[in-house]
Amino acid sequence: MNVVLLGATKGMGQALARQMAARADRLFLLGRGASSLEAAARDLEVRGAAGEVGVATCDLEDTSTFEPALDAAFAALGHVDVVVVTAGLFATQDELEADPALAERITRVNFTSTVVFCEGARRRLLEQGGGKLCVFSSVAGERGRKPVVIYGASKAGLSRYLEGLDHKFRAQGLEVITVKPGFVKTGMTAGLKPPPFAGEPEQVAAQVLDAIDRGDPVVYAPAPWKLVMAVIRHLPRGVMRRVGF
Amino acid sequence: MDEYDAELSGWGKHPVARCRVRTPETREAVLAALTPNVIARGLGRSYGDPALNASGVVLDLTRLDRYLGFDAATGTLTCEAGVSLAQIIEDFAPRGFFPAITPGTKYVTVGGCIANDVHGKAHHVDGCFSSCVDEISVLLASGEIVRASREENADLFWASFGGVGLVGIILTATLRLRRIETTYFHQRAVTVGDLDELLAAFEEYDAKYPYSVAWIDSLATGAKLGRGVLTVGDHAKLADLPARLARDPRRITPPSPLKVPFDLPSFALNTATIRVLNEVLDGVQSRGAPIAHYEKFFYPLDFVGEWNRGYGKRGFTQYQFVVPLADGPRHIRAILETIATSGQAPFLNVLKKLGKEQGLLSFPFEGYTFAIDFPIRDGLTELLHTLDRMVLEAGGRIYLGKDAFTDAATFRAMYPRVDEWLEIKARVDPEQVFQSDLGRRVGLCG
Ligand SMILES: Cc1cc2nc3c(=O)[nH]c(=O)nc-3n(C[C@H](O)[C@H](O)[C@H](O)COP(=O)(O)OP(=O)(O)OC[C@H]3O[C@@H](n4cnc5c(N)ncnc54)[C@H](O)[C@@H]3O)c2cc1C
Ligand SMILES: NC(=O)c1ccc[n+]([C@@H]2O[C@H](COP(=O)([O-])OP(=O)(O)OC[C@H]3O[C@@H](n4cnc5c(N)ncnc54)[C@H](OP(=O)(O)O)[C@@H]3O)[C@@H](O)[C@H]2O)c1
Repeated sequence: MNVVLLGATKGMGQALARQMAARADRLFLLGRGASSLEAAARDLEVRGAAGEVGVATCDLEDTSTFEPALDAAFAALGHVDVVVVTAGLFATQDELEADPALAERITRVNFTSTVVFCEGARRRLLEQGGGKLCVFSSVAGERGRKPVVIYGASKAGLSRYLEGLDHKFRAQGLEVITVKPGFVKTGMTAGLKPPPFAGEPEQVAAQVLDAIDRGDPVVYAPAPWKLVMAVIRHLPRGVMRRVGF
Repeated sequence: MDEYDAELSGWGKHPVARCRVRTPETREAVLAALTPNVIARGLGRSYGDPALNASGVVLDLTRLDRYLGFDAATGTLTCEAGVSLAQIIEDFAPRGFFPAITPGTKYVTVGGCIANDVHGKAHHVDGCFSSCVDEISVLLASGEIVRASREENADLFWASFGGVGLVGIILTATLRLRRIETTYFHQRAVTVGDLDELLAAFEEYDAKYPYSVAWIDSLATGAKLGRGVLTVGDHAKLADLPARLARDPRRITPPSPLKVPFDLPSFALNTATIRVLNEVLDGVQSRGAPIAHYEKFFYPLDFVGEWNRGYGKRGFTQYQFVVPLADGPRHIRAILETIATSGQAPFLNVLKKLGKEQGLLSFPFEGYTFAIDFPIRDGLTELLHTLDRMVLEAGGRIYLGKDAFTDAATFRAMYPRVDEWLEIKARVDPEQVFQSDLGRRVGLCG
């Protein structure tokens, strides 16, 4: 499998790339830091990635970097089977309420920029006759909830976009896989108290790899979150207003 | 979250300190996190306070875990310092390589192994962890990243082994892995009735086997003092394996689902620890099965996850010391008698004969080392100070990787090369940027 990853320097993206490397996939990494990209590439080579792992800088906060980065990745791999986007930002609701600039930044990175990046990936995948686009949204986008009002909204927008994309283009060979993680123990959540069903990045990665292979449109990870969210999706507004989660 | 407050402790759950924690995941992030009054932390498997910093910052480096290069021809691995031995085993044992030197748990980072210069069951043959390290890169207080090896910046290299994180932050290391045909060991258990028999058994079997360790009954006194079982072993070759195992000779076992579910009340201590002990002895005494998987051979305690919670909320400590061979038996007898009659509740006694001394602050030297667990109870501090005096009189020392109680004067007296180390510390870290609770306690930082 030939895979382009944006956000594989850390967390779930890193865990996913490592599992792909272990099964000798060919990988190309996009990200904002040149030296952390290089370190990640060497790591994946030692773990068994096929050939050299190429890298190109691509910063979600600078849309002008998207096209050259995607060009470099598609040129290096020839044919691309999957584009994975795990890059994203998180901040607590308290931090976001206190800092309008941060709120603007997170909604822009997680929604606007990610959509623009995905559009670039979509065009190229369709041009080559199809492929898979796997993007990490969040369970936080399922309902308006007190602890994730702003972050959740950014992910809600992203989830809708990805759903529409899948509906529109699946017939043309573009399979869109939306990953909705619950709480996962990565650097993003370090120091936050893990709720029940908190997952490890490796566990999520294994689940996502299966979903990519099968072309599942939506993945809740770790698995119990599917049930948890089924309940939360159906809670009446009156209840949501009273509970703390 | 880049930074948060947390109550941290070592594996013994004593002492506990509230620290400011940062979790840098890349070299750049470590550089950015460098700040006055900071200490690195690995997987927190040291028992006491070397990776605690009550007044300052602790850098959790477990996500600094990338491999940077591997040469299969020589088995040389370059990796970031937060890589754990568990991870190395999982990724490299199937390819025929194993960490060359390993302590009694695989849940330790390469950085932690260097900072305590850990020893394993083959110390008398292989030496400390430093023996398998060719080169390290260290982030110094100045912000400079320096390469250190036996040839280049040799003083920094040696000060880092046993330097308990106070020299600088180790960013990467180049290790030589051991080539293995199988992940199994052939082992032999020798039951001994008393201390003389045990020490004689070490003489006899250490000459024939690279791995050796003895478990002894900590409550036996008088004529029975020192009774226990010595296990020795070596890597099994493919030809040593029965057909059943030879089909998958480099099997790695996934982590055990067994866990001590919560902090047990202290009255559960006996059953909980006996269970651990039995698990250990089960692995050790399996005479019917002379071939043992590495998990049982090296890491019998890893089989029960979070077994440290079995000692209850107040936690526990491990007292590990070494005394010289000459007159060793007499001192060991006196120390064991003192422990057995102390009214404290010692558990899991391990005895091993160590090989040659290395480095400036590395714990091992040629002698007998003992490790004994004590749950924290009233009166324990007094007992440990008595033991410190006895160990010092015997010309011995205690191990900082386990210690939580020794004071600066005692530590100084036990480690004759401490001034050489302090000179290097003063040169590379004049402002005392790197600090820890242990460092302040034993006088390794100001
Ligand atoms: C069940 C068990 C069995 C054990 N058996 C043995 C044994 O047989 N032999 C033995 O020698 N030890 C043994 N130990 C002790 C253990 O091997 C050491 O304490 C080891 O250092 C722990 O590594 P860690 O990654 O958990 O480091 P931590 O405990 O987190 O930190 C230990 C020290 O390393 C420093 N450090 C960590 N990373 C870095 C870095 N990147 N740069 C600079 N400094 C750093 C810290 O500042 C601290 O001073 C055992 C421990 C347990 C729990
Ligand atoms: N962890 C959870 O509990 C959780 C729950 C639900 C959803 N999610 C979502 O899942 C995804 C992965 O989360 P994670 O926990 O694995 O996060 P993580 O560990 O913080 O990793 C985030 C990754 O995104 C990259 N990134 C951040 N900003 C970027 C930018 N401007 N340009 C390019 N790359 C950028 C980071 O690269 P650098 O190395 O450059 O920083 C890093 O590789 C995110 O979209 C997150 O919102 C996470």
